Amino acid sequence: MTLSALILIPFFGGLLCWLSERLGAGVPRWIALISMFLVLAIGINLWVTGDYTSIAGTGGLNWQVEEQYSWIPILGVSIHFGLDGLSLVMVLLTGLLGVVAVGCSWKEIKTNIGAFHMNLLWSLAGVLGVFLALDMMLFFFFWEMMLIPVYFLIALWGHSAHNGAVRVKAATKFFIYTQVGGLVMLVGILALVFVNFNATQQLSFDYGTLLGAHKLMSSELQFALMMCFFIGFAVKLPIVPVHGWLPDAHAEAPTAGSVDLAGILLKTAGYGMLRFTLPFFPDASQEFANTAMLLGLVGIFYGAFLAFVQTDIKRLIAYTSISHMGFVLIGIYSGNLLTLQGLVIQMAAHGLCAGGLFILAGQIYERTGTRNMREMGGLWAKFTYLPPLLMFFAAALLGIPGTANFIGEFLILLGAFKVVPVITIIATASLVLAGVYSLILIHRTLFGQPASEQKYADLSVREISLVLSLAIILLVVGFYPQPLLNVSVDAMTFIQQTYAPADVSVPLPIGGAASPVAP
Amino acid sequence: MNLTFESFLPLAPVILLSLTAVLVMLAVSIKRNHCVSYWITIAGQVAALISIFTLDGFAVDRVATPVTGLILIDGYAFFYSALVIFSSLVCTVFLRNFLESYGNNKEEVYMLLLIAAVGGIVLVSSSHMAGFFIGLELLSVPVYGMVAYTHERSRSLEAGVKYLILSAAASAFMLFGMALVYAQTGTMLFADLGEKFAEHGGYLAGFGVAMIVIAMCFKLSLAPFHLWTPDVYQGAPAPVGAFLATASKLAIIAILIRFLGQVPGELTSVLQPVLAVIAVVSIAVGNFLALTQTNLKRMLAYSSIAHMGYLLIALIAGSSIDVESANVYLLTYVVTSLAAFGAISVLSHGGNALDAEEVNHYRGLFWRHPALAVAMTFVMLSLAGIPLTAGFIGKFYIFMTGVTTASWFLLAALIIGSGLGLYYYLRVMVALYDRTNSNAEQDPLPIGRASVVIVMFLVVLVLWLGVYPQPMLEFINTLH
Repeated sequence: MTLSALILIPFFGGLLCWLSERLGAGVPRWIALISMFLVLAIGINLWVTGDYTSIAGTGGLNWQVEEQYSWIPILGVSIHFGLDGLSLVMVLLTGLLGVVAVGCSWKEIKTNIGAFHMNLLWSLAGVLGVFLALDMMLFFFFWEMMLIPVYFLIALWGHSAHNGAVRVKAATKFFIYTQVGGLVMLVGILALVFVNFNATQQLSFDYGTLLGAHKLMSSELQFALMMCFFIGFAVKLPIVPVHGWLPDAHAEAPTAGSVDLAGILLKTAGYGMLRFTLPFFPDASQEFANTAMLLGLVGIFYGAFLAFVQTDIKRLIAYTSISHMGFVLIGIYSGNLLTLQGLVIQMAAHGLCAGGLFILAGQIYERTGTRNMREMGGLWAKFTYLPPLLMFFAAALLGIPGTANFIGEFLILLGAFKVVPVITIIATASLVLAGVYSLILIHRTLFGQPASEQKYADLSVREISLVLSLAIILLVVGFYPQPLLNVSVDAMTFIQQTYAPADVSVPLPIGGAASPVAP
Repeated sequence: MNLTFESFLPLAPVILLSLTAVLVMLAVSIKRNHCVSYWITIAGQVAALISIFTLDGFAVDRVATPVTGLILIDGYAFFYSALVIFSSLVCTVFLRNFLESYGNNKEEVYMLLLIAAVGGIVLVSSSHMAGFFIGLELLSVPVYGMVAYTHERSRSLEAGVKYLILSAAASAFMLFGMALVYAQTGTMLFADLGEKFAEHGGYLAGFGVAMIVIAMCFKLSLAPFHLWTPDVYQGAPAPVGAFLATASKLAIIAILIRFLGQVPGELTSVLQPVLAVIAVVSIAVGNFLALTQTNLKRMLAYSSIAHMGYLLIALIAGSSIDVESANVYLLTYVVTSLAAFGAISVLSHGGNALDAEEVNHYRGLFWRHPALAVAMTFVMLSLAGIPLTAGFIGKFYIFMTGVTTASWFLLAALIIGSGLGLYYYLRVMVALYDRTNSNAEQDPLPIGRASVVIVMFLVVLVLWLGVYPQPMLEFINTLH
């Protein structure tokens, strides 16, 4: 029941928000906040009570909680949820950023507050469903379902500087990109199911059943189906040729929408690749690994260069996401345990860091009325709390040691160096670019001549506590990542073992006291 | 053949509906009363629907019953008949609200509707060329009248005449095709075609079958035979559009499935690549032309062309027809389309010069009729095939057909078409919530409560079929 509750709480909470709007503007906000706190609390409870290292090193699946209900037996579809370490990290991230997203829209959203929170909570419910679903049909349902609320968030509550047509265009672009990618993936899912059906006469969409299906097909077919899955996830990650929706969607989304998109929605793609693409098609994935990593490399540099030339602060952050997701892609496909573990940290850290930056960008916009960095300048003198926080997050973005981002990038590069040294060296060079775009971000906004003499209100307690909590978590994970690594180790060992069973020479970072040791 | 009462019993829905049509006619000749005609029509259709269920039309052990050699009643025939009656029942409710403000005679339209429904049932149950033709004409001819019913509107009249001419052309094609098939094989029974063709051979029958299929493509508005569709959809009063898009289309699909299922493979295998091209072209034409429409009815017309293209995939992919996929798709499409046209009907009034058909009319609908706007949101999502709505289940089955038969090109067309489709469905959907223009056009007339209730019911059905499709899929799976 716990896992269903994780999805049902935001779902019904959202409905309540909508219905309670007439009781006053504050009611939906509190309901949304309480719902997300409940989700976070359940997640933390699962963390504390679960044992995520119980089968360490054996490479089996370690579902701490599992639920299954009958749904469409005629198609072999059931409602099947499962939670392991990887899911748990994602659930925690979703809960945390959900709370933050509700908090940061407290003042920003003034129209149709109930409906706004309904859409926000429903999108989070969809994301939680994606992280928990163990039935491919159910997974696809959630995968598509989370798009609709996000579409409305962008189209109806988006950036108000333009007229509505620009917002709608961005939202539609986002929807069409991801939907088409999703349909390609649906073909892959169905083909996988039917290959399994033809061989075993058992029609099933279940994760466990389909894990063995790759042994039943030719390598060409396996490659084709792997590509179907890869395209579906690549659009969402996003990977460079199919990234077109991301900057527009971010530029037009409200702050909460951006936090939601960058912090959580992009992670569903990384999660999907780890959970499904690699274990379902290990041989084809290995065949494809070099191409994928090259794509990742292209993404890293493309995102970094384009971030540098942006003048819109939200677009800049959006392009850095593309750059960071390139690292994620390299991490996924180099397939040793060190990178995979680093990946979990990197995904969580990027979610928190991008979330924090988008919130700060939103706060700047609320005060100055512009997101154009050429019109900012000299903000350092006008605020007490905002500039240091912005500097901290910019530093986290470039991966300064002491922040979680550093741990993530470091582990990914360390592990990947063993597998693909050349690509890793080139990728490492991009960290210089990360420094450049982070510095340009703080330089243009905080320093220089003030664009106007106007005084702005400083951050309120609510705003500071939101951003500060994210910063603290980044620091804690940055200094002591072991608890987080312990959570994901079983899940990642399983993925690593199915993906590259030969490569077991890498030492496993297990155990409470030992820190991950480089080979 | 010995004709007894029992042998006509399976025809009960046809008989009941015909009787109702006569009753409506008599009622009109005694005293014109909109309300009376309406309730007679409703009662007749409900009785016909009940008769299908009391006849155990869907019993598992049911055997196909031939009636008079022209008609063969089996589980599929009952399924499609029930759908036809359901659609026309829903259209009746929409028609009543629509005609309340109409200044001219209102009652005859129910008679036309009933006759068309009879035609639809005959069509879906026919097993003989004669039944085929009679059913098709009985279905089409009243629809000319219905399309042109609001003849004060010049577009309506124009649409009626257009539909008449194109239907006549299609009928001519079909008759000639039947004649060619008969000339070759000497039989008009579908079931005998294969055997007789094997005896005689020759290529005339092939031409004949091709011509019949072309006539069906006309009726289904598949590209390149689609040119009449947008004009007729736009000109027809919204409730009639609902009938045209659902009952009429589904009856023709049903007979096409039955006919193609019986025609020997040698004759249809030649047509298969042609039909594949037609499906792809329909998907492309329908979606591309719908992109720029600002008129909701025209947009739905083009989208119906695309949807028929998707449906055609179930008929042509692989070596045999995937009847199950076609039925699932048909059911979901019918429910969704009825709701879509229903929403238009609710806001349209026969007394006005135009229906509520411009997208602008729906801008900010949420702030005037929230329930209706939410309903339309789900309808648009269902048409676009988004999960949790019926439309997704239908599309999912078409995907399944495509994957099991390895028809990758058709699947590619399906994916690209769906992507294009999103653009215009989403545009309508988001316009419903547009705040800027919400007070620009207030509806001058009150909206019909019964129609709204029916639209809500259909939307609940759309969601139910999307969230928990198991009962529907099980039911369709057991049909035979």
